[in-house]
Amino acid sequence: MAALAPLIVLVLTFLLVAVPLGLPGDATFLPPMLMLSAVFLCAANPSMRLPVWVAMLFGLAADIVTASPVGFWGLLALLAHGAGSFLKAAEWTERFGILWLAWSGAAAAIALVAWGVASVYFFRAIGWEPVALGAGLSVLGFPLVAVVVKLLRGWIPDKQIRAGAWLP
Amino acid sequence: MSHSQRKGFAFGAKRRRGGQSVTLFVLYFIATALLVLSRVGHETIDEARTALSDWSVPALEMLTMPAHGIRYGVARARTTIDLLDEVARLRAENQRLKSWEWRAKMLNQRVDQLRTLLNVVEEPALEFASGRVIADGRGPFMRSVLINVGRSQGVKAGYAVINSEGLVGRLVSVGGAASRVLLLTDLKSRVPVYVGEGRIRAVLAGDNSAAPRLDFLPEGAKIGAGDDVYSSGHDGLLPRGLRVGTIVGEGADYRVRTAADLNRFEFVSVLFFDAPALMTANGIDEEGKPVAADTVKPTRPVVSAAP
Repeated sequence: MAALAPLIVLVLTFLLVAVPLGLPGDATFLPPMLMLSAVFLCAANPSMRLPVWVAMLFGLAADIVTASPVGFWGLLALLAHGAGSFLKAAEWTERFGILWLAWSGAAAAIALVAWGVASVYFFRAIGWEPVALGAGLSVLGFPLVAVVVKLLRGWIPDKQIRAGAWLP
Repeated sequence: MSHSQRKGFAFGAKRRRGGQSVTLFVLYFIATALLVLSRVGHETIDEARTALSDWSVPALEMLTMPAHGIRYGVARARTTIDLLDEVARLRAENQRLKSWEWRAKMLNQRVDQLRTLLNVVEEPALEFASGRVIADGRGPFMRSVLINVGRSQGVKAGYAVINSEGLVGRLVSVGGAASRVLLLTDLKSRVPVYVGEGRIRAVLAGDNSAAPRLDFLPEGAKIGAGDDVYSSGHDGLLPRGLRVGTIVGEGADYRVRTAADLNRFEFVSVLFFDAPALMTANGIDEEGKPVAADTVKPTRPVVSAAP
């Protein structure tokens, strides 16, 4: 059952991407960035296992529902997963503060890559404000995603939990 | 643990890492290849996107219900709070509209008389299909929404989409049960419009900002903030006279505040307008058979009533 926890977190954050929330135009980058923060969190969590191809599938699904260039969110999901996996491998996941800080850096890097790829894709410099706003707000929303992860891990019996003291 | 066992574990871990690297490389390659194919407009990508959108319609419809419910609840609560002010406002508006109703009736009679005198051929009323927004595709790259109206309702790519407030956009891809609407604010949206009472021609160009700009205004055009903007139909794709919005801003940078709130809308109608240009673009005739562009004939007289 514990194997389902990352999937449930991703499905929940994907719903934010798919459902029309009526956000203002400049904030539309936020829901996919929250989904990427969930990818990052699940990849970094020592007690969770999120295969990289699952993260990419969710990214591709986000491409479909947001009418983004196909492969765009898929690529960014791979980056988010890579950042989370790096933290897990380096065993820097014991404190939530460090993880939050790491997501701040990863979100900034992902936003930069997103802006660059999109600018190349459209052959023009796209507006950086929505990208920066989405990344910034995802940093603020990161603890909420972490709380959801914590709640889910509470609901799902998991005898294999070894770490996770960093969760709020 | 023997030396050979340790060596075996180390080899296994190394092989796993190697396998993971290959998987990662393949996934990055796939993502990049998809981006490139998407950029060159590969048909398979578009078809797959449309098919997947179609496939996801039931799930998206089910998922959007709570969101719509919450939005409806909030709107209802707001209305209840503002009820007294709203009643006063509606009374005043009703008075104003009554005088307009009388004027409209008089003008309608006069128009009927003039049309009879000029022997103008009547335009058939536009048919439409209504649906609901089931997914929000407004991102940094595209301003679009997915609606639950598709080929099964008879709609085609290029049809205009409106709501009760005005023009919303046009269909860009049509699946069996769902279609994607390109909003007026999208970077790729271009709509020929009339501005103000002088019916000055311009092109409404989306740039992903909240208020699209007006391009190709003639030099010295006398327009100003508050002037109405409506579709001119000069592209041969959209019907003439659809309400688009009003001008905001001054100087050379005229912008249009769209009449429809493109951040919040739930129901839309797709207008069945088979203009000659649209039929050529779709490569089909009235019966849905493929035709050469030079054999396409107009479905309605060129003479039409101005809005």
